[in-house]
Amino acid sequence: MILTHPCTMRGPNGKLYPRLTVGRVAPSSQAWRLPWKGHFKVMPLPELVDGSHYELRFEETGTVPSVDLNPQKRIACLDDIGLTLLQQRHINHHTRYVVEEPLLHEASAHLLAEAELLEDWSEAALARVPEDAADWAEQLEQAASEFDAFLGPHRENLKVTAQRARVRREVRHEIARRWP
Amino acid sequence: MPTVTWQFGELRDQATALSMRVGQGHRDAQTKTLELLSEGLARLSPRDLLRRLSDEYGLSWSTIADLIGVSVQAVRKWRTGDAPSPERRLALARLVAFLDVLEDSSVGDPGGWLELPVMQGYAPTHFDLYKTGRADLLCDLASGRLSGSDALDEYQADWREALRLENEVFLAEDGQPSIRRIG
Repeated sequence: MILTHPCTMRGPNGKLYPRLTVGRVAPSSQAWRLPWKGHFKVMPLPELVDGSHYELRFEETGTVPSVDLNPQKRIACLDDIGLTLLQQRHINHHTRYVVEEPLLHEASAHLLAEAELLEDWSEAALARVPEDAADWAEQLEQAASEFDAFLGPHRENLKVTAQRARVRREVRHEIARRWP
Repeated sequence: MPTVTWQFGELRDQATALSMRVGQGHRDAQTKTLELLSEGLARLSPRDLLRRLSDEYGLSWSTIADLIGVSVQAVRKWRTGDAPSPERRLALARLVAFLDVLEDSSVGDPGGWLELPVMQGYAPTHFDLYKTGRADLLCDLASGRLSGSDALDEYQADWREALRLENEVFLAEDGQPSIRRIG
């Protein structure tokens, strides 16, 4: 499971850094039910696969080449709240300090918003391209590049809570204009 | 006690009682208005409701999912044509109706307003109040009839201690949002 914070995963050109920090995910002896009290050495992953409980072990972490991380093999993706809880537990594991969850969310909110908008943009751009098309990957990269160019002047506004909804509207209007 | 003092005291008590009754009556009327608007909007397709929330109000898919009480994947399926349950469809309509009411209350950007904290230095956002079913408090906040601290008094009695943040988000030297201790 990837542990690297979203803002330190990619370089200035938007490409993943050569190595990313990951942690081992293993079957858990716990049947995870909320609230998760204690168990600070792990991030619970309830019912991750076929209803079975798993956990991410903070004591078994390391780096791997980012080229080995194949998106086609992804089993699950944390939602915004899950990502925040992972960060909170990860920080607590290393420091024993509990950072308030709303602040962790706010500090990453601009990146989560950008990732979601990029997904919307890419989906619209590739909607008519068959997934087995020979140039699918190039078209995806081209879409990401065009998104990056459009978002450029608006990107700083994503860091301002009160401006984020306006940026989302502008991007979605642009998507509707380009791919009606 | 001089008569005039007693009379003013009596009048004050009556005014307070009247203010409470009028306030409750106004909230009940607002709730009824929201219900009627929601029932009308529920006739729209889920896709149109989602389009209004995303394109018109600028909500994120994850926020919509959280406010409706479903996963982001469920919202994704509705966007591509799957039908939500009647309850979820009404919940979508309620959210659109609520944002329409906010806009009518002269909140310039209801989607942006929803993400803001009720009071600086405390955890709950307007979004959190909506999630716990307190649209009534938010309507009063948006119209200026209620202050942030009054709204939090009604939301959670011990908010001053229980919901106070020890840290804050700030822009660090590299321009990235970061977290530091307040003070």
